[in-house]
Amino acid sequence: MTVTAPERTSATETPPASATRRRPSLPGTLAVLAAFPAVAIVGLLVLVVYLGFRAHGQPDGALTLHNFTSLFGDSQVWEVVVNTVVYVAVSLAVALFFGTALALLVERTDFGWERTVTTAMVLRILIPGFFTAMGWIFLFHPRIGAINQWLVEAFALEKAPVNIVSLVGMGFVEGLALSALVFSMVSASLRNLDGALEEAARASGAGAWRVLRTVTLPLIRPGLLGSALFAGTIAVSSLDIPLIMGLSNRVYVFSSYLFVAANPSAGRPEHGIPAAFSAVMILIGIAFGLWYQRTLRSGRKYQVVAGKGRQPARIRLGRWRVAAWAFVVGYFLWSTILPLLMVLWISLLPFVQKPSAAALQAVSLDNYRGLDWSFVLRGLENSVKVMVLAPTVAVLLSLAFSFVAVRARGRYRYAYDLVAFLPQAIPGTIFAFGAMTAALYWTRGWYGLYGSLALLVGVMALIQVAFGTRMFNAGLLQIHAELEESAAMSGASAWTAVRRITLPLLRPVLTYTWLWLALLSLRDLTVPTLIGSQDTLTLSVASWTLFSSGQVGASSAVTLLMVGCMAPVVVVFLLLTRTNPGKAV
Amino acid sequence: MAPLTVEGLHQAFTAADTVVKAIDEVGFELREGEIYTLLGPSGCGKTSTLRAVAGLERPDGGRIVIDGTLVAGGPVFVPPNKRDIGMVFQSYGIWPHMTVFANAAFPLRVAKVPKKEIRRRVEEALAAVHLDGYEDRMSTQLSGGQQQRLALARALVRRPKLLLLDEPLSNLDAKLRAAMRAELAALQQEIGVTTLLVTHDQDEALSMSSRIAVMRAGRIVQEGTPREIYQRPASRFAADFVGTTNFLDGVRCDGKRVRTALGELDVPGAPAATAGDAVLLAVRPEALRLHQVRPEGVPNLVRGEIERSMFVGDSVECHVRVADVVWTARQDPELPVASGDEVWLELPAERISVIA
Repeated sequence: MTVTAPERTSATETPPASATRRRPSLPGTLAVLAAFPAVAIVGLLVLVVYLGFRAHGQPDGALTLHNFTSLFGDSQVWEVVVNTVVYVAVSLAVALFFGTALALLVERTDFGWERTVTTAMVLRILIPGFFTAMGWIFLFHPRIGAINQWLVEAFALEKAPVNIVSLVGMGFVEGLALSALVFSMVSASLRNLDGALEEAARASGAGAWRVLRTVTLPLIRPGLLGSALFAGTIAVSSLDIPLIMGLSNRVYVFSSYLFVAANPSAGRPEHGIPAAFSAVMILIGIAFGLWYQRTLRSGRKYQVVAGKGRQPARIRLGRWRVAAWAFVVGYFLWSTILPLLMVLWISLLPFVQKPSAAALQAVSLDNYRGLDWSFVLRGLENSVKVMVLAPTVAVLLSLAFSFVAVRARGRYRYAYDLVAFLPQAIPGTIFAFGAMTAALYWTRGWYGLYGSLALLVGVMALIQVAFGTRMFNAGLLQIHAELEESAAMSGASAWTAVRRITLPLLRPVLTYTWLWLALLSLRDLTVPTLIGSQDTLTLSVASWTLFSSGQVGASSAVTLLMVGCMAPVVVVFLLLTRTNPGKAV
Repeated sequence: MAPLTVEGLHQAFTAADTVVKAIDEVGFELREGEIYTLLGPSGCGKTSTLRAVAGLERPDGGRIVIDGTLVAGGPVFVPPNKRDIGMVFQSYGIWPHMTVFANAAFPLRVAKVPKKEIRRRVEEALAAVHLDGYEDRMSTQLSGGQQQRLALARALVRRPKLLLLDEPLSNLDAKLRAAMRAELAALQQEIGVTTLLVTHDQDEALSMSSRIAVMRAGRIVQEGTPREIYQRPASRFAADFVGTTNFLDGVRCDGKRVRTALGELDVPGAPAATAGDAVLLAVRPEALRLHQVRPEGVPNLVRGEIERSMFVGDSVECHVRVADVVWTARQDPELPVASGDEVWLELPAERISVIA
């Protein structure tokens, strides 16, 4: 062996001054910054669980198990629990069926129209839930629903055949709304699946159904599970459909129960049982979240091909094409177009009437003219503020989380990844509830946050961190580490490398994420209703306020105005994602 | 003063409860203007060593001195951007959102060099790698070979003391790789920049290097010129990893003869050797002389039988069964051999490596 082992003598070794001074590393600094939102996310959940053990959910209340015993013992509360289970189950069944069927049709058959359907589905996600809810009420409400009325007249029925304001009806409408989300996630999984796997099955003699059952669906299981988890969390969380369709009928589910208990029309607000309910939800959310992450990890184990696989030969529909068309057209007609037309129709009428020649006489723009414009403009102003501020804060926080989760070396990065995932697995309602309670009891005087816009923006941003972090994690993983390292080797400091290399490379993802979150902020009714006040009234809350006070026509008008406000942002969004509209969600 | 001195470098990491020594007491010194190559299979620690020199990894111990400046050792750790080095990455690390010019100008812009100076030096660097005229193209429009050259221009534009090359040719196809090997070596000589090259490709190492360090399991097992490494491997590993080798166990009879299962063979003289030592003989396939008729008066002759002959264009590779092992002999492509032929292999004494 002839290894040179140089003597430890070398002559002029002068360490440069900068070497001895340890500077904090970039991920380290960001870890400190991201610690604040991380503590807020965990803190809000801990607070909610804590309140669940206090009498009436007041921080100074007596320690008690009463809230939990009444959750399972009190027949009224128990009914809400059962309702929630039924409601979520129906929503998930509907969403998974329609979403997966449409995704398979578009990605695996020769149906065509891939871009159109995908774009329409992205738009479908953005349509506010209360908008569809109103549309379906105007179509199928047992008393005022146009179709019900026609059916009763046509067949001389005793009572309306369809009752959409029932528990199953609500689940169905929520499911239709969520099917677009499921579609986006499942079709993304299908696109990332290597087609050779399915073609091999077909070459082995398996028929189309068998391939679907034994190869395709098992392989996209993580995608299906993920979409079910997200859809389930949103179903539990969202207030819009339970408020608009369930409240007048006294059909309560988790979110509307929480809202009503915290904002009773009479008596003192009850925070204890909702907190206990939330604590159970947090447990379930974390359990499902961990299960999902495990499935993702094991899914990677047998991921045969990294990145995009070749698409398999498409299944020929043949004479089934007519049925496929009927399915797709029927879906869009009933889930979107008819409800939209009904809202438009009602917005032109002084009171709710089914479309008829007589009603056509009453059509006018009175609802729009008669709107309390100062009220609407206040809503618009707040909506714009929320729409700009919440995604901006969320994007900044998510960037910090992602940098730590992807680029840090220490084990602590897993903790950040997990915390950022929490708002995805746990209903946003719970975060809003926790924040409202915390603001109510612990911020008073000049720094009072209760009912402030800052609180609203902060909570929305915290909830959106889940989506933002998911996008940026994927984006950062795609940026080869050597691109950043070559900046360092060119003499750039870590911050310069981020500013000049990483952020510019992330820009498409940044823009995309910001726009998507902005649109979601605008359509959201849940968080603004729960923690909002007169000062933070947004357009969506304005519409709900009008609806709940019986001004259905005016409410429809405001909803349409809101959709009008979203249109330009949606156009920008679609232009930016032109090449790959399915990237959404 | 050496451009680079590495002493007692070590680095370990824990994976699945076991401590893996990625770098185990590695030391070497580069001479001015040479290409020094770390050669070894994947996981041997060559890339970790390079990254420690670059400052992209912080070693657990040892010292790294670049041109008289201590950059790592004890409490001292100079971040990569403060080290006087240029580096070409395996994936090139060409920024896709910048033009060719902006990529090459980046190191100078970071160093706040005046604009006019930047233009002059970037044009110079791009011309050196034959990319003049491509300044305004987006870097993604370049081919693999061009991106590789751009990465080189960017690494050299700052005129660093030390150039680090991390598997620079591994992403190119075979033909282009051979061409770039010559071009890279020529350019390096022209500029005269001291270069540390990391590769697992023995042809690359042998053809480009001034000196090679063969690494295995975090250690340097042999250091020498390409000829020394290839012709006089110091270990079974080095002989096996660099090129193809036929091995034969034996016991020394005296300084010049070794007894093997195939009889006694003459070997190059080793005065210090003691009789009775177990040794390993290594002969390269192209060193073997294959005779179809038993030659007279030739020493070191063994009988064998052709198992398979494979025509590979510039030579014919004969797999010859000798006793219970199969040897490879590379011969002139015109040699008319067929499976089953009885042949005689001559082992020229001066081309046998004796490994202790």
